[in-house]
Amino acid sequence: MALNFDFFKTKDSEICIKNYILNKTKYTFQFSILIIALLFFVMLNISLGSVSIPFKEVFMILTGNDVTSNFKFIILNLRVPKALTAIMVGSGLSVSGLLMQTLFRNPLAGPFVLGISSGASLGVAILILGSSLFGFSAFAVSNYSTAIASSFGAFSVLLAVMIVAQKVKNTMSILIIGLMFGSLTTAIISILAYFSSAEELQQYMFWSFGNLGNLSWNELTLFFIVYIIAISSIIFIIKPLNSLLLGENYAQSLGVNIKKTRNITLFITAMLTGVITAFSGPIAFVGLAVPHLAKLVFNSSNHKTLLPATAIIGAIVMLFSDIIAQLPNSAFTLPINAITSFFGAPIVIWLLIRKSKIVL
Amino acid sequence: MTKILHIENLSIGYTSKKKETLVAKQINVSINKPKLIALIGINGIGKSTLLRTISKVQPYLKGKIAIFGKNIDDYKATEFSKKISLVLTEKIPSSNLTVYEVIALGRQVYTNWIGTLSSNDKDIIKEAASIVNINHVLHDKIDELSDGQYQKVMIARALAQDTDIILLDEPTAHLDIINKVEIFKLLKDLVVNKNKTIIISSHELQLAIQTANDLWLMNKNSFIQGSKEKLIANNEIQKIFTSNNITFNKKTNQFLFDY
Repeated sequence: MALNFDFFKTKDSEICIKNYILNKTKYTFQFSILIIALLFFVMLNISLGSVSIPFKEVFMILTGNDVTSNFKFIILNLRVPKALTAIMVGSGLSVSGLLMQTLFRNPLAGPFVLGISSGASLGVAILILGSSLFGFSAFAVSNYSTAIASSFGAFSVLLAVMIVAQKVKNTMSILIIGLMFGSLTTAIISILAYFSSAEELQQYMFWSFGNLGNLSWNELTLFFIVYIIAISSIIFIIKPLNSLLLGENYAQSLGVNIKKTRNITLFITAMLTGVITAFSGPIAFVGLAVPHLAKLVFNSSNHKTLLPATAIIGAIVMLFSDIIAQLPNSAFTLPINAITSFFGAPIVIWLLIRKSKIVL
Repeated sequence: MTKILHIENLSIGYTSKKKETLVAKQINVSINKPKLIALIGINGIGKSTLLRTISKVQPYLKGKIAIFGKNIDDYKATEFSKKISLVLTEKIPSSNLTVYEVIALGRQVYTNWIGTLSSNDKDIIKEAASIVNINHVLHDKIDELSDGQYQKVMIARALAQDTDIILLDEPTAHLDIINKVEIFKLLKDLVVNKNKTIIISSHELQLAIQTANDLWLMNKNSFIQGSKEKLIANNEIQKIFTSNNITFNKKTNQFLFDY
């Protein structure tokens, strides 16, 4: 009889509860490690660069105790904005990736796959490469105009995907449609590139390498506002996200409004990807890979754990990549876009071989 | 007394653009007290469509469906999910979710905006797990379970959702005979002990006929329902098979197959 509650079963469930509590404390441990790592990498990121600044000095300047240091300008106007950019870019892209993977219930999904990043690239390509073609070379290509062009591109593609999404019920089709939009924009960029001058091409290439260190405090403030709006919108979908892990039918039977959840998720992703690509170029890899790193480290699919974990790991990955890209103590800076993939891809491959399974 | 479920002149099917595909029509049925109902019919006859329609996953074409005297269209989504829960054939997407987390999702409709489980929620989850006897795997990953355990977890999840009606769409499709018997027995216990109304579509005719109180028989042109004793006496069960190779023996309550 199923309703029997004999002694052994009670004992079993007690063990289970103990395991559960153990798991919880384990997460606090993992989160503490992550936060310490994040703080460490922030300090390291600020102190390393073409000029190496000792930790002690960095600490003194950040706490406002050393007002006479020669390094003050470098730290406050170059390194701190760059570190903050890295944190927002890394966490924003990673969280977008996680949202996409859950929404499409596909571990391959990410901001790039939906064509949103390609849309942003298209916007910038039209601005930089198309300037001579369409004759608006009079417009100076500044940080702001790139940002506007990129956001515009990201939102146009997103809008197109969302309009199609209203007609198509199957989320897998939306994913493929996103990929098609991506191909389409890449094709247009190639055509634009064919007709543009070497100088414009170079300018576009440099943008596409990605750059974290380009932002003034004003631009950073704008970036921060959009970032905060997008990230805090997640509270509207935090509950539906977990039920979506059961598939659309179960989620719906739990009272989840699928369409609304889908639209909010797409909107958040577009905002984050749009603004990030706008200010720091199309940064690949992070959005797809970091959620999987988080899932492997925390061995969980629960968004209450995964969302903060993904955000922190994303920030660490970006700070770390930026340190490498700066080639400490040299005047060279490598493309950040290359570094994220160069160091990140082998790590993900190694983790997957070890764990041998990729899940949502 | 308000009826648990009341279906009147229902037509089910799909609508796309201008075309309307009718799957079944003239469905009339009422449920007045908790019982186990087996929905029986051949593949493609519309069993899943009917269950999907009752659970509001897809709209109906014509007629009326009322739950506790209220039309299903008048329910808010969250209110409705406190009345009907689902167990489906399809497996959930591969994830790191634990058994506990999956069952806990059944409580979601009752929890606050961030989904914090109260101690009451936790008690209900534990009770649901012990009813289906899966306490020992409560913290295993859902992906690591056997098919039998998996389906029990999904039933526990439906129990945690605490609804009066549970719809199950071929939950025993991939299971061996031991698990099939166990699931049917479990469902029967739920009707008796927990006052649940359970509608299960199944191809396990023998088991369904043995355990169910009522049968809903879907044929190509008709929908017949009633207590199994009545349907057996009236030779209705025979009619769901268009093939002459299967016959139903009224005396032994068994199917006979001609080879």
